[in-house]
Amino acid sequence: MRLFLQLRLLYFALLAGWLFSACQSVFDVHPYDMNLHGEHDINADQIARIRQLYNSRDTLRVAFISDTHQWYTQAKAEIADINSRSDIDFVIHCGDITDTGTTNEFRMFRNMLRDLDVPHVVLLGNHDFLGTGDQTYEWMFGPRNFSFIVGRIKFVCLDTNAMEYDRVAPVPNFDYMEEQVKADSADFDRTIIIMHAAPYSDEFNNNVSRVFNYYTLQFPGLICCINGHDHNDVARRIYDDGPIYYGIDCALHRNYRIFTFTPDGYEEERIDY
Amino acid sequence: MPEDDKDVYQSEVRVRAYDKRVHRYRKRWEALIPTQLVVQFAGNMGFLSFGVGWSYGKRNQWETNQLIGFIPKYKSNRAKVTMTIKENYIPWSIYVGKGVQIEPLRMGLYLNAVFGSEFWNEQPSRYPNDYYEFLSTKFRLNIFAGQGVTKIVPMNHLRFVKSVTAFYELGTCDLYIRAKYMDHSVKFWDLMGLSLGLKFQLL
Repeated sequence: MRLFLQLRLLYFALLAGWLFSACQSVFDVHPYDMNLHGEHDINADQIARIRQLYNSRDTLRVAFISDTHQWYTQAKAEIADINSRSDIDFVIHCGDITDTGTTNEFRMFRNMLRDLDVPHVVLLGNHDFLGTGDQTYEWMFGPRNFSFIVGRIKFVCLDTNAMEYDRVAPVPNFDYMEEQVKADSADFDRTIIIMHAAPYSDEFNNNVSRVFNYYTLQFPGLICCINGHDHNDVARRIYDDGPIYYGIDCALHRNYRIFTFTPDGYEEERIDY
Repeated sequence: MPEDDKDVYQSEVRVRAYDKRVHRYRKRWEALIPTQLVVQFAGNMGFLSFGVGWSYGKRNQWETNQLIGFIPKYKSNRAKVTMTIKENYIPWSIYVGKGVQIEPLRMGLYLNAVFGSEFWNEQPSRYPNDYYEFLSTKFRLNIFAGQGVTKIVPMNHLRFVKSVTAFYELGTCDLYIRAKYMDHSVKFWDLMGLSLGLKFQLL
C-alpha cells in the first residue's frame, strides 16, 4: 500500500514536472505575457561572434534583410538562401520581425533565427513595439540603439520609430548619435547607419529629419544608410547633400540585398530567391 | 395536530398585488446571484483567473463567467491584471454512476481585456487610420473547446458546494488565427493553448 502511495506521488511529481516544462508551449498565459526563457541579449552575443570572426578582415559581405513579419514560409526560404551561399559573413535584419508584437511571435522568430548559419543582429521595427513587444525586444535582443565595429567599419543601428513613442521620446536619439561619432574613433574609418524607418516615412519624426541628416554626416566616412519599413527595394538620395538610402524589401516580395564592403568602396546586389 | 393551529392552516392567505410585485422584484434580483465559483489556469487570460459564474437554460447548459486574471511579471516591467467575460455551452451531461457525470463537450468564446498603458483599445490618435490592421492590443477574442467531469457532492457531505467540475479547454485567440491565415506553416502548438479549471457549483 505504501509503495503504491509512493508510486502515485512519484507519478504526480513527474506529471507536474512535465506540465511545468511544457508550460511555455502548451499553456498560454497571455499573448503579451513575456513568459520567456532561454536565449536573450542575442545582439551582444552575435556582435562578439562577428568581431571574433571578421575583425581583421578588409572585405566584408553582409546580407540585409527586413520586414519578415509573419511571412514565415518566405522568411525561412530567405534564411535557406543565405545559408546556401558560402560567402556571406553576417546578416542584419532591419526590423519588423513580428506583426503584432506578441511573445509567441518573438519566440517563433527566435526559433527560425537558429537555422541561420552565420551571425546576425536584429533591429527594432515599429510592429515589434505593439503591446509588450518593445520590452520583449530589449530582453531578447538588447538595447534599441546599438553599434559595433568590424573591419574598421562602424555599424550604427538606430531606433527611428518615433511614432511609437507619440514623438515625445528622443527618437532618433541625437545624443546617442553624437556619442557614437566620437566613441572608439581610433578603431573605425567608415560608418554605415542602419534604421528601420527612413526619414520622411510615416514613422519618422519628420520635424527633425534634416537635423538627422546633419548628424549622419558627422560620422567619419559615411558609406550609406540602410532602412526597412517601406516594403520595397529602392536606392535613393533623400537629401541632395546626404548619403544614399537603400530600402530593403519585405520577405513577402522574396528579395534582399548583399553588400560587399572593400577597402576601396562597396558593391551591392539584389538577390531574388 | 393541535386544535388551535387548525385555524392557521385553514385560513386563506391573501396574496396582494403588492406581495406579487415584491416577489417578482426579489426573484429578478436573485437571478444575479452567482451560481458558481470558477478558477482557471492559463488560457490567454492570465496565469490564474478567479471569478463567478451563472448557469442557466433548461439543463443548465449555458454558463456565463466573469473572471479576473493575473499575469506574473515574467521578463516584462510589471505584472498585469486582466478581466474576462466568458460564455460556455455544455450541450450534454452524462451520468455515469457514483455521483459522477461527464461533459463530453464544452465550447464557447470569451473576450479578455488586459490592463496597462502598454495596451490600447482603439489605435491612439498618433497613428494614421488603420495603421495596424487589427482591432486592439487590449482586447482579445478567444474561442475554445474542451471536456469536463463533475463529481456531485453526496447529501451527507453537503456543506456549501453542490458539485465540483474539473475541465480542460483547448483554445486560441484572434491574433493567432490571423497568424495561421497569414502563413500556414505556423505550428499547431504555437497557436493553441491548453487551459485547466475547476468549477464549484453553489446553487
